[in-house]
Amino acid sequence: MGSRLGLVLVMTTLLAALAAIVSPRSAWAVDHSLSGSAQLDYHLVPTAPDANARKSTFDGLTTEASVKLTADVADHLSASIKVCFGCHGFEADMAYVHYQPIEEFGVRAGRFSPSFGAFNLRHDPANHGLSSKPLPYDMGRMLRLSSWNMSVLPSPFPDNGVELGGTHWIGTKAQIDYAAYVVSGFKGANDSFDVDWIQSRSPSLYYADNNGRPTVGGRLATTVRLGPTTDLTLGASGQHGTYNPDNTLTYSIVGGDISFRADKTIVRVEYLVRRQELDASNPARFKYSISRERGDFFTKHGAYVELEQGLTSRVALLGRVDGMARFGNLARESDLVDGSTVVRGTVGGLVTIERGFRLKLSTEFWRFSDNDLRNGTDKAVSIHTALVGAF
Amino acid sequence: MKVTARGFVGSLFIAASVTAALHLGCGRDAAVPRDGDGLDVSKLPQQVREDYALFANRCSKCHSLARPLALATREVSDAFWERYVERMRRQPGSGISVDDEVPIRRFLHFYSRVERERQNGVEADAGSSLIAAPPSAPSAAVAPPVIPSASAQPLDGATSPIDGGP
Repeated sequence: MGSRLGLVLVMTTLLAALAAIVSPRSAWAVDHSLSGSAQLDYHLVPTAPDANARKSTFDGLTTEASVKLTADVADHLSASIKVCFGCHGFEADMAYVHYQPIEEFGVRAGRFSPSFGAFNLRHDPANHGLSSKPLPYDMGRMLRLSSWNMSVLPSPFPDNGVELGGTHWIGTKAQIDYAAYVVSGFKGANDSFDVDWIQSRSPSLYYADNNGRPTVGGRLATTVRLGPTTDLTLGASGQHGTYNPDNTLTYSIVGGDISFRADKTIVRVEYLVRRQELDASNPARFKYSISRERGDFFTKHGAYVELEQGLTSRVALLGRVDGMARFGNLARESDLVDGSTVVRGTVGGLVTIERGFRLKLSTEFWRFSDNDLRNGTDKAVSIHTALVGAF
Repeated sequence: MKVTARGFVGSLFIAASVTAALHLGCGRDAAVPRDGDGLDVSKLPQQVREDYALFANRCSKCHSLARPLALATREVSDAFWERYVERMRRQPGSGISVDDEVPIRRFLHFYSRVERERQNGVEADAGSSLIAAPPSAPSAAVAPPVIPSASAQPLDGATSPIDGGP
């Protein structure tokens, strides 16, 4: 309770500072930019009408809001603060300084989401067209989220650390970006079956690391301009670290992404996989023998293909096919099996009501490899309706 | 149901087919941004349409056009835009080259000026309402915009928020 009160006080102070800094009377105005967004989403799951089935689904109304301030402190130094409000309450998504003496090299230090994949750059609700995130990056909107323990890499994933990065242009047609970072890494207990996402984001632990060994990672991407309004981005990302206090259990995440844009058409493809070791000291806890293949670790794969097509200046159509597959050992009582899968198809529309104010509509068709133990079905439908504003 | 390589490739094929059909069916008007947060191109002076098209294309890749256009409604200077565009150019995968900076800044300079005039109640020129001026009678707002001086602020002075959003 005390830490929650403290967090609220800190956030209030930060917002008050933001308000003071962006005041029209401020002489600093030229050096600061303020942006933000708010999304209200209603998630209806008509195929889960009873209370028991709804236990694995966050349906109903949710709000995600954020405000971000970036200040140019000096010629080569800026500072950014981003405060979010969502299902977890207030959260510091960013609080870092960024020193970039040259285009090809910069360093940022503090709290930020390390560079991984393509979607995380667009994780703000104002920057992606569907209400829900792609399954590999889902954070709390997927059905059966408890059974799956969410996605491969729930986005965003702010962490404490330092990142080196830069960009280099080859002529005016190709851009190469790189990033390499050291962060605290995800957290879990010594005997846990997966990353403990709550522990990984909980302010009650003061965002402190649970072990002394940092996680390392990086990203390499290239963007090539194929025409005046056509470009292609290819990227590869990876990170590796330990997640338990004793530093005995490792996790590794790798991924690749392709984004293609031609005029009003955008196609995005992304794949990522997480391999995670399990504590096998007590075989009785597991569903399968630890001596079999993948007995003491699991892999969770995720991928999506997304199409965004502008139909008019105010209406865009979106389609997405995404899914996950999990291979390896599980807790004895888990609803999943070795090789469980989930596939989702989504169709949606994005309507601009006024500049910066949009309506998002989408329907998701789910299919699981396992029947739900509560209602005995492997299919589900969910519907999202959202309003989102950005400034 | 198992996820198979065949199923995944099939999904890719379907997505590619739908994309191709929609892409061809929806035309290739590059001057219209992909989202509706942009401006009505038909109401822009002819002289800035090319700059606007570049701005709309580059600056809608990671975020809504509402962001930079909303900033233009504030009292911002050319020095601010210089830093802002440079900061955005350095975003990973921005696709904004050095050559793109001047036309983007030129459009933002124009639009900021129009917005300031509108807020001050100036109705004297066509740019105030973003209505294209007759070619034979260019207004002050459609005169060749001033390109912000490269020496006004150091171009390498900007650093970045590394995400596409707020």
